[in-house]
Amino acid sequence: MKKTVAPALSYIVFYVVTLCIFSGILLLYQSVLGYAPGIDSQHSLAGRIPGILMYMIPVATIASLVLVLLVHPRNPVRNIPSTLLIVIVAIALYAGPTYFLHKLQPTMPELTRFPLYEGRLTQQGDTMIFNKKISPRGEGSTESIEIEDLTIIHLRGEWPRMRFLPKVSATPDTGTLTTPQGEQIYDYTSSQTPIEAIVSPSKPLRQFAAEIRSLTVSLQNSFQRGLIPFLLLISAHVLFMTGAWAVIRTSRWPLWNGLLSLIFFRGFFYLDSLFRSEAIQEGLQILALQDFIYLAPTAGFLLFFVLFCLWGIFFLKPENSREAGI
Amino acid sequence: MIRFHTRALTTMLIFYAIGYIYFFILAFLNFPADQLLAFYKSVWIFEEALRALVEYFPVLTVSAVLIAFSTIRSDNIELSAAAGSISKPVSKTLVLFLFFTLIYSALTIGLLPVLWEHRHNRLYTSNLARSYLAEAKQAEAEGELESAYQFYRDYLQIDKTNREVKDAVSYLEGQITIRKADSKIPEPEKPLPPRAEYRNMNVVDILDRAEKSLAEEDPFTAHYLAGIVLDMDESRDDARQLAARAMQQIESLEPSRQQRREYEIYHRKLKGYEELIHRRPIEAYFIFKKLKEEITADRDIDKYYQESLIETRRVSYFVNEAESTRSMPGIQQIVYIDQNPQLVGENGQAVVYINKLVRDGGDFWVHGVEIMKLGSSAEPAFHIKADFGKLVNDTLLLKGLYLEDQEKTIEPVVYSGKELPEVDTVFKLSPSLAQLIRLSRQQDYLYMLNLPALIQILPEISRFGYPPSQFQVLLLLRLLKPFLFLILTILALGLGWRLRIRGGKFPWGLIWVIPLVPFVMHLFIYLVEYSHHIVLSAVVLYAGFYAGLAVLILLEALLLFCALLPIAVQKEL
Repeated sequence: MKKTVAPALSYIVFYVVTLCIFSGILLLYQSVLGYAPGIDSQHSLAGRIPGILMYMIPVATIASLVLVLLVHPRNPVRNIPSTLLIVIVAIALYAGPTYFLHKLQPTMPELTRFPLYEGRLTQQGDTMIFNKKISPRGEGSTESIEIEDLTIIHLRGEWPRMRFLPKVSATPDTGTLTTPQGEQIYDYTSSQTPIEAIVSPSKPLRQFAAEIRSLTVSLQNSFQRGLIPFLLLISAHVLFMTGAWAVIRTSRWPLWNGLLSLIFFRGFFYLDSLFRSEAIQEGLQILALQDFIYLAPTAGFLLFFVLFCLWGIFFLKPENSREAGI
Repeated sequence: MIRFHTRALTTMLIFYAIGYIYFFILAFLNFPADQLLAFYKSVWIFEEALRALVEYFPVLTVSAVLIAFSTIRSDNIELSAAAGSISKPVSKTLVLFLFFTLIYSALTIGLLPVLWEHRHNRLYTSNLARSYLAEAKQAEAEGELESAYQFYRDYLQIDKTNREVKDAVSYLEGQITIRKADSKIPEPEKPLPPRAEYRNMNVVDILDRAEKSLAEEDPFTAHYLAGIVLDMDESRDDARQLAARAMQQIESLEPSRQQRREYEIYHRKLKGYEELIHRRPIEAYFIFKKLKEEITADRDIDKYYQESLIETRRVSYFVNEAESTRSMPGIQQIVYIDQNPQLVGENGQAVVYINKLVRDGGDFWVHGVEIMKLGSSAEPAFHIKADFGKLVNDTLLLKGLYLEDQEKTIEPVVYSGKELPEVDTVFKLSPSLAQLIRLSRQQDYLYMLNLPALIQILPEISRFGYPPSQFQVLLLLRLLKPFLFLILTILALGLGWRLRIRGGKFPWGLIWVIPLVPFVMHLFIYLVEYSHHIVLSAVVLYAGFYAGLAVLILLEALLLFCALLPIAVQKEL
């Protein structure tokens, strides 16, 4: 009994911990991007938590399924009741909060960027801005912000590189600085401050984030189509990763198994976007299956699950499955 | 019995060697020939490989340790169970990791910023050289040979051995000489036309006048008039004799001319001295410079020349010296707010922008400087720009002198302002030279700021107009690096041990996995570092530096605990 329940309990712990860590980091990341010392914009961060959770639940689920496999020295692959219990718990913890959050329909409010400091120099790419005074704006106000004695310094280009403007209006929602005459003197949306540059993700991470975002959209779409397609998709995700255990545990060298599990973790998100790529959709249209395009990821993941099971039956050696955990 | 530390050390050294070879090949294949001059190629490849080796030192170390321990077969080990503490072999290995952490810290603090600076300088000078070459070719095409010649010379200051450009310089030198020679063909000498008063006189009258002048002790006029007569009639011997007598008298006057000359020099020295004591060193310098050129051995002139030169250098610079540093790399794009009362008055502020700061021996030169003094009113008190400037300690000199021409100077261009700084070409700056260098905003400047530099600038950064948060975050990230290196290496030991091959033979079929490990570890370490960047940035922004430091210490303590846990739970270790 203990052997059957322990992996499922571990899964719950991993799920909660990874969800908290990933969501916390994402929230902190957004708080860095939304840091606006000149205006009061903190209220928008708390409102972002449901959206962040919705975004991170699939990541936490897949990561926990990998971790629970690696950490348990005794492989749960051949312990059917244990595996079934993990699958049920995983589907419940994936589907329940996702369903609830989709019901709430959280919106991710746009980050209000206003990276100017009163009496301080701020850098935005190749431009620096110094201003003497920023008129405070009331909480929740959407009015433009008045800035006095602003000096704009271009680090490249023609001389003079400095320009003084006695009065400028800043519109944080559009990220522009405008003179009272209506001349737009700077658009800071396309550049980063040095701190934003420090937390700016690398290209592979941006690609990964885009794939997670598209997975969230996919979940949203299936939720709108009804409970069954939604549960089918979520079950397919969980089954894919659980089935992958059979492949991950193939070798006697746990280091290789660990690397393989990381490849599966990353590959899951890549596969999801691949299943919803235009090429697959066009292929389904040719086969006159355009009405079932939304089921392509579900079918794809389930197909892989079956293949993994077959691999497990034919190739997984009992000694590997027993002792190849971390 | 397996010696853990020897095994770890050997694997690490093998990984560093293979890593360096890999980065070397990569640098060779990715040499940016379109951005760099060809003569930089070999040094660039060596240094880029070294820079990559230092940057990826944690990745290589962690991968090496992971491989070293995960390739131990679980049935091929004889270890006495540790009695409640970490075993001796593991302790030795941990000491080895500590030693490598020190090496890594030294490399990141001492070597890495230097390598980044070299990289930046090479890219900068290559870009500059290419722009010189383009301008030289354009000027040559437009027939402006002297301008083209100058640009080629500027190019050669950077790429000294470029044969093609050297040939172009030699060719242009010849062309310019021919042009000058053509424009300087001397015209045939013509006799001076006689002055109007002698023009209508005949030879006899002129000779009379010459005799009279000689009698009145005016031998110069007498000689001149005799010359006019000889021009009119070469056969006049009386005129020739008169000219000879006049010349004799002129020669007899020489001692008095010498006296006059000495008197004149004395007066010039006195004027130079007065200029010096009345704080006009530039005027004094040019007087003594001229005197020095005329008189070689005069102790007074030598002494006051040196003194006036020293004083001149305190208020101005020489343009030729400034121009000679034009092609040198330096620290670019320095921006800060100056609140020095001597520059901006009480409660005033000035925005200072320096395009490039160059070090030439003991001198510091500024290329392109703009200063905007902000007053209390709605427009700047003044806004000036200078092409060059010289930094003497914390004083910026903006008046440039030409050695050959006293009248020609370079002074700042005044763009606007009520308080035109007509006299002020000497500015006292707030930051010291060392601080100024750290206020650069050039690309890659973050990499050049090492830990000691950040510790030095941080307490004063607000004074220069910067929000301290970005420097505080950088400082924490620099502190993080050695911690993280040690923690991840220890984690690799524990993890490697847990991931070691189970029973049987070594699975040789999976040997190809080993080269993959550094790439996966790179992603893993990147994610760990990146998470730290986010957490520390957010904490510093919202709660301040000390909260960030506390979080860093707590987080690293927690991670160290987690890294030691896999070792602690293994009874063999």
